[in-house]
Amino acid sequence: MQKPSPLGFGLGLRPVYYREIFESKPPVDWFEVISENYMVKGGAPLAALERIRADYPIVMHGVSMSIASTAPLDMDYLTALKDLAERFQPEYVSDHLCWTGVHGVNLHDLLPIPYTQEALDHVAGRIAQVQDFLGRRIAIENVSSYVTFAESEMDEWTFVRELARRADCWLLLDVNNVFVSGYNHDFDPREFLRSIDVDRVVQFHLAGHEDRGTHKIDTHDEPVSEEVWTLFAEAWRRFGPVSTMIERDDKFPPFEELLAELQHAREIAAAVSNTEAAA
Amino acid sequence: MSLAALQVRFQDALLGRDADRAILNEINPSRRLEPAARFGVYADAYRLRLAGFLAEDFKVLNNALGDDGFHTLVEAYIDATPSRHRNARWYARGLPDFMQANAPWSESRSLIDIARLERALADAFDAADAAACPVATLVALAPEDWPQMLFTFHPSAMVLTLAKGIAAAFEAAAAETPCPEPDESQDEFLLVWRNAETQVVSRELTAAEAMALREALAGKSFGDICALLQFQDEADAADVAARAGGYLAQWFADRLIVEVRNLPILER
Repeated sequence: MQKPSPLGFGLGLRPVYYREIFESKPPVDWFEVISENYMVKGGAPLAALERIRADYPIVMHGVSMSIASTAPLDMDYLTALKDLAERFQPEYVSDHLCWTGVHGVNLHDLLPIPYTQEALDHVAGRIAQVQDFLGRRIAIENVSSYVTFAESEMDEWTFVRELARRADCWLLLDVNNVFVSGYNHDFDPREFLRSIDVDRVVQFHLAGHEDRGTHKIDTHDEPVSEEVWTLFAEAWRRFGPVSTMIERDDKFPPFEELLAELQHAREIAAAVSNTEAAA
Repeated sequence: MSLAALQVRFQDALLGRDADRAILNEINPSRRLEPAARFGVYADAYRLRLAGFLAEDFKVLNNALGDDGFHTLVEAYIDATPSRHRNARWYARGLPDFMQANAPWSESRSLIDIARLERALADAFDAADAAACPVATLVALAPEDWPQMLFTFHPSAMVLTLAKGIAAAFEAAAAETPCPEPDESQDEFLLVWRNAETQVVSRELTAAEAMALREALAGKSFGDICALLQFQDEADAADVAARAGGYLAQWFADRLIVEVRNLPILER
């Protein structure tokens, strides 16, 4: 199983930074784009993506596949996704291990599932269907969650590992989500990392979160926290080199600050790689 | 409990359809939080996220209503309208129709029109692409062929009928500056479209040009449009043709027309 080559260090493409990117062609190795933002008929969003794509590799990251929903797969959505992928030729396509609604409703959130054998069978079967339809292997991301279900029969990391094996998909490991869920559900995030197969992980997400004391929320509106940088170093030691990117979705800082954060990621990765090489 | 049943229970509680929140029986407490507080993270996020979509697409309406008034509208809309769309903007699109159908918002044509204009600008923003015909296309047409001509317009082009003064009120609300009240008893007409630089633009139309453009958008030939204008104004045929020709030249100059074709012979 040949993983896609690492793309280096990237950022989430957000419209607020379009002008900056067009004008300065910043030293970002690749961009992750939110697929749904470009599932429109025309106009500025698609024109902007054409310009970006001419200069950078992209990965398409979706929020609406609802792969863990018990509602039927949305074939209109998957068709639009396939068309977009054919037009923009991303390195790969990803979405989340979650559901977003049933009975035609979209709750616009990445909702959690119980980690049961039934859910494992269900989601693995759906990923296989999607991969057949798209004609490509997809990457599935672990989400931040705020509840656990009494019905769960296994740990999240066991579920994620088995799912990747069963569905034969890639994994997008969101390091911040592992940390946030670890805090919310009292597990050791390092145990999560240790349980995941190295050859499945094609990408890392890094992002900031909000600390509410009793729980943490995956807000993407803060710089990456120190604890998450530490966990990123652990992740790089186990899985690296892996395509790595930072997500920012609110309280947008000057673009230079994101570039500085990305440089910090590069330095951590380089330090871990050098230590490994010396050992 | 099956996965399907659990998802229905979770969704019903999020949408406020299950006052008892039976889903709480399925949720473990954490070391620091009870199930209700844990589920509350999702319940709060659901409403905040939808409210965020509406605030994003209706900034000017928000200014016009004030934060409290806009919040009341948004909460009513969220209660009445679960999202059935994957794209946030499609969810927000329903707000003007909701205002039209529900008091007290239905009582203010001005506020509804501000919302309709804001929606039209958003619709034009990501309407389908199409390359405009150069003005030379019109110059190359022989005048005797004009009556049989049909036009296809840029997919973003639309004509709005609004209360008189809405365009100015919209600008003022966007800039948070004072403005005279629109006159709800009279109309003004606004053309909204996206230009070649992917910018959404608009201009005011006279009643006659609005009618002519609506007919052209509906697929009527230039000859039919002239006949209608002549009927409306009881004007001289030559004057009407000159006026309609002026409209047509302006539509080309606006880069609104993407295709010119002949009326099929059987329909002449």
